[in-house]
Amino acid sequence: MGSEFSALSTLFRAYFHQNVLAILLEINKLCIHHMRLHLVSTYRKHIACLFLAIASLTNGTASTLQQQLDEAVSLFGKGDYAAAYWQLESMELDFGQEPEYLNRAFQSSLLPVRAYAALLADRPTDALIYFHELLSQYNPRPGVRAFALYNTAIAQSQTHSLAAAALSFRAFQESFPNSNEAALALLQEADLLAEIGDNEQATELLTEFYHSDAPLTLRMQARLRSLQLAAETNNTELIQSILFETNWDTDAMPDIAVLSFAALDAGDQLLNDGLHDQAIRAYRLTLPRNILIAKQEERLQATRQALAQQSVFASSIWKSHSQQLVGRLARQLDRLQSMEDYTPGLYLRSGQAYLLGKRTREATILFRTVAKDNDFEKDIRAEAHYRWILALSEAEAWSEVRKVAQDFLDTHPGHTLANSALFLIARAYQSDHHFLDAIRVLDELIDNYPNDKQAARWYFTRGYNYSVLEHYDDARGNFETIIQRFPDSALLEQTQMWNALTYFFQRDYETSLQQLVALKKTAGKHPIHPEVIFRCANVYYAQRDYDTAIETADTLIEKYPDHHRIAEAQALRGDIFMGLGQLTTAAFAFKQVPADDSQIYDYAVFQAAKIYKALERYDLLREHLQDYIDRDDAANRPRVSEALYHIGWSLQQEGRSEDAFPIFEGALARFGNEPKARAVRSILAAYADLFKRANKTDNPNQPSFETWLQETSEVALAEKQLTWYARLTLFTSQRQSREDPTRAEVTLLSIHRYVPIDQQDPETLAAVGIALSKRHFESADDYFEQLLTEYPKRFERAAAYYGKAQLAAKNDRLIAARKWLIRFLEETPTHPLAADARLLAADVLTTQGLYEQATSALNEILQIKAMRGRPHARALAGLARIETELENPKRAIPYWQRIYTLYRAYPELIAKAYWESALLFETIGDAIAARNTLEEMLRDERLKDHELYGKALEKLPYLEIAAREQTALATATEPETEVSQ
Amino acid sequence: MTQVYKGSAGASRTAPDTIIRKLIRKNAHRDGAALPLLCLFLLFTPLSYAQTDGLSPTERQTIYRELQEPIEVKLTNKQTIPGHSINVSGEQIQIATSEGAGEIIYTFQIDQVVSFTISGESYKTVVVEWIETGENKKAMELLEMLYQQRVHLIPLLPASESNFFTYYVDLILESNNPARAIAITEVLRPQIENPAAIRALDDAILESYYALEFYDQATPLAKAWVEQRNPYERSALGYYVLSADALRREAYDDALDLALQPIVFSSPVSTEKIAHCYAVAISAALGLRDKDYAATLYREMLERELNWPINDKTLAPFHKTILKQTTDV
Repeated sequence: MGSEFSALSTLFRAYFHQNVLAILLEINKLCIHHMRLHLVSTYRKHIACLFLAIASLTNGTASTLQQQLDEAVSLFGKGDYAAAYWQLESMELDFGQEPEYLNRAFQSSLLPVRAYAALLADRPTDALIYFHELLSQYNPRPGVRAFALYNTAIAQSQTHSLAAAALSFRAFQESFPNSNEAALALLQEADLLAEIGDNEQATELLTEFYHSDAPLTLRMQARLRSLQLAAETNNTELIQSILFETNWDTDAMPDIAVLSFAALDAGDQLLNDGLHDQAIRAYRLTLPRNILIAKQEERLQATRQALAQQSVFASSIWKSHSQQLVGRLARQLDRLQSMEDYTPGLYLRSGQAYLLGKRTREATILFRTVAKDNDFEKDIRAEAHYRWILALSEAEAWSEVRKVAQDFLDTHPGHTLANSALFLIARAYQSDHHFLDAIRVLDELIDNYPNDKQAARWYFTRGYNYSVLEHYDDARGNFETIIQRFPDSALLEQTQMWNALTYFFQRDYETSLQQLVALKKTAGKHPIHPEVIFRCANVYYAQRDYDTAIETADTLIEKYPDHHRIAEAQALRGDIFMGLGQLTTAAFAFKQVPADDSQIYDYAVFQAAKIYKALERYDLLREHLQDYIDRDDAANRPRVSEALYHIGWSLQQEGRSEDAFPIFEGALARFGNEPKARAVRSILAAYADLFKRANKTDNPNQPSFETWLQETSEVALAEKQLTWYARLTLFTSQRQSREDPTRAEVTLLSIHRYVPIDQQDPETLAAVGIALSKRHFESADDYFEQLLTEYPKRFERAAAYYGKAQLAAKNDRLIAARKWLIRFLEETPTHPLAADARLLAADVLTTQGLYEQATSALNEILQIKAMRGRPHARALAGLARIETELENPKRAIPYWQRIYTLYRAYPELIAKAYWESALLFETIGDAIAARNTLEEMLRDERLKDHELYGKALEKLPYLEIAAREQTALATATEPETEVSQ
Repeated sequence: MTQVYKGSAGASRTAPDTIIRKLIRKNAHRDGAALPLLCLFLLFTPLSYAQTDGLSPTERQTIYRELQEPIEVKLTNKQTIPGHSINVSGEQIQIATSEGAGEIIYTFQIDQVVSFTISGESYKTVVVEWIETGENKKAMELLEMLYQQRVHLIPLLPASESNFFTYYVDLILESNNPARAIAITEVLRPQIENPAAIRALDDAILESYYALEFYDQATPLAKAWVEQRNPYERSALGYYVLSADALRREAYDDALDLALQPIVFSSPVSTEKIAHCYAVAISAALGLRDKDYAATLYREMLERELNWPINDKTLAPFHKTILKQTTDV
């Protein structure tokens, strides 16, 4: 289509210059361009005739009309469109009645030119008249028709006939579909519809266009326009839809600034609406200012070049479009260059969106990067630095919080946020349970800035920390300061409550109650009111004023049924009624406790069960506990086995033990094969106990539990219920371990053979993993990985920490081993493997040559009462080893001696102790002691099977010889005593 | 030594064109050559010859002939010596020039040389045009020939010469020959002054070492890269290499922090290696056993239509894991 217009323009130029050769050459070019349109012969013939006709017509009056034509051409060529327009008007005046002027062919050629000149001369009304005349009376060729239609629309829009202009653009599209110019017409139509106020229609049009096959650049332009319209009408949903469902191609986008700013605004809106993930996506679509300027400059330069390179005969539509684009880009660039840099603000908002979306890592990075970039202004860096601290707080990285906050204070001393940063340091200490350090920091704040607007909070926090340390007087000192000095503080009510609680903690219930009751009266409309009521109920209960306690709890339940203390209030009622002996009422009260707070709920369930047990209402007991077992979340309830136990017990009380079995088996069938179900082991233990009791009392012919265990395992394996099989096998192994540890281990390791890791529960993973790692199988690591990945919060993860440490130590990855052990000791210090973990840690330290630390660790073990017995003996062995490595045999020997003297219950340990101390005696040249040691060892029959026993037997003769030699030497060197006479 | 070089290192349209060169250049234009010229070209070449292959034998021969023309060395004493073989060694330059049946070898101090005139300057324009039109194979072959012609002289030529050959490095990298890229880059780098060109070369070296799995060489370069640049630039190469190194050392926290930096600062303008950074971040999250976070990052990566890089062996096992995880869910 472009070539149509270029041909037309060319034609008129040739016409105006009346250069026949030029005309024919242009016709030739036109022919080549239009080859596929098959217009060559007709077009060429038509134009040739046209010019011949004009030439002949203008021969007679040529000089005058020609002069005027030339003048008009010249003015048009210079861009003096107004003058050209008038020139053409005067031509009409002068020659308007002349046949050559009125000639149809002449008019059909002149009209578009007059119309276009009028349009460019800002005379759209006249332009409309001429275009209308051309279109209605002259049936112009397609190219001319398109030109006229398009420019008619432009003229209409200039005369504010927007609706008509839109219709004209629509007519253009219908007349010339699938052309690039039609695409431009569509964009114009959409703009006009928006201007008229029909945004919906405009958006629909643009959306349809975006999904068409039109060139990407134009589709991007349409999309951007839709975005602008959506932003203008604050249509958040539509903004999001456009932003996030468009494949934004920045290289194809004419107006990249539009996207950036629309995305930035959208991001802010989404952030305000709490849609953090979407806000992040929106901010990501915003370019930083320097990149946006660079892109804009590139785009402007490219567009200008393209415009300059556009042939002089290029379509006016495209020229107009390019000119508009250049103008727009230039204006945008100016604005960008003169505006303040929004980039740091963008990064801070983006960081905020990440932070609120709980993506603290990303937030930390954003804030940290801005804080450290000296290209940004100091204030911005300070703001970013402070938010960096907040992000770390959110991530609970307390030591990092302190470090970064201190860095803030060093980098921005005197900043308005400095005190807040210091306060965050105090809070970080508090969260890390370093209460004294928290207090120290708060002291500094309060001493230096006693009248700061945050002072009340500092006092409160300091009071809280004192409370935790049970320094109640100091705590109250702080709370009372707030009450006295900051009566308007938002923390007043909370402070008053805490003040009262300090008395409660000290068991001064009367004073506590006085203060709480006073607060209850004054804080009637305050959000803290229900909490105060709850605290009052507790104090009444502590004072044994049960009636008032119940009345108070009832008030809380009635007035605030959705409060988070309701479960506790209900449980309190139950306890009170139980204390008053009103058991039925108490049971009913316990049954009102909602299940939201699982700990309180479980407590209440079993309190009610106790009541039914006491009332010997075994039917109610069973019904109550069966409801508990039948809960959807029972798999996660830790006391299911206890419930089953009580059910079994109740049936036994009624002489119906056999009826208990199906209940247990039902629960085991329900939970046994579910890897994430808890307490299956304890259900098995309770079931074993049921067997034991049933066998003793009711039915001596009942098959044994072992039989049941064996048969059930076989069935589980056959039916591929592998999790269940693994649990049964583990249970079997644990039962065997007391009598036959070797057999127990074999049983345990069979799980490794039959059950895939992903079907094993945490307990099984831990047990099998440890067994494998003890045998130094690297496959143990797969078990530990599974534990840590799938069950990162379960207590059994301790086994993974220990096991991984073991494997790392074995492979001389001592630093890794220590890291794992540190995690063990920090996160799961009470796990049964704690002693082993500590001993391994000491062993690793010894291997690393860190003897002092190793000695300290071992001595710590010796202080822990719970680690008496074997762990203590092993700790002594560790100390002996350290002394040996430090080449202090005389200090090592006593440790070994303590072991074989005090820990005789551990044959394998005393065998080693004997052996090692004998060797050390030998080292220091005391063969006699060495021999005596081994003789003592060999006298212990229990050690006969130990490998060191054989070695001791072999060594003894040599020591005998050495001992005799030592004795002989000692005798020979004894000093002679002279008897004086 | 004063170096004045005749003819620019950029596009030169003043050197005389052979007919073939004209035809070669014309055929590169997207607008299409005018029919008569196209026909003329086809008379010289077999009609079945496809533009997407390398240089045709005829083209190669013609170019070769021209590049074999003697290099003219202008000296301070106003003498001009044509030479077909030039050797630079230390502070001396040796020029071999044919003389009858034999050869004369001239030896000068480098500072006696005023300028060089080297044939084939206009081919640089052709190279650029071919690259712009996607005819990379031809461009690379021509660059190879130009490079071989003047490689010994590069240390003596202006920086613009080396700048020009960064095209060569890019093409070699794209053709997956990082070792060659390193070798050429080491020749070019000392001569380059333009900061953007230096950065491009540094990137090429780093990428080459990494592709060859020379991690000991790549890691210190990546460290320097990260120290000198920002995470909100057009390339995330340094962050990728350094974070992958941390990943291999199982320093997962470090790997995650490094890999996330260009991710959080990325924008609609595409960032090179951003997909690689995502892959490292996801792998590090898996290493930290934070499956949910790994899945979040993976979903985000897919939403942004980024593909998991398949050429990095370090990342392959993690890809399997995240696929399994997200499929199971």
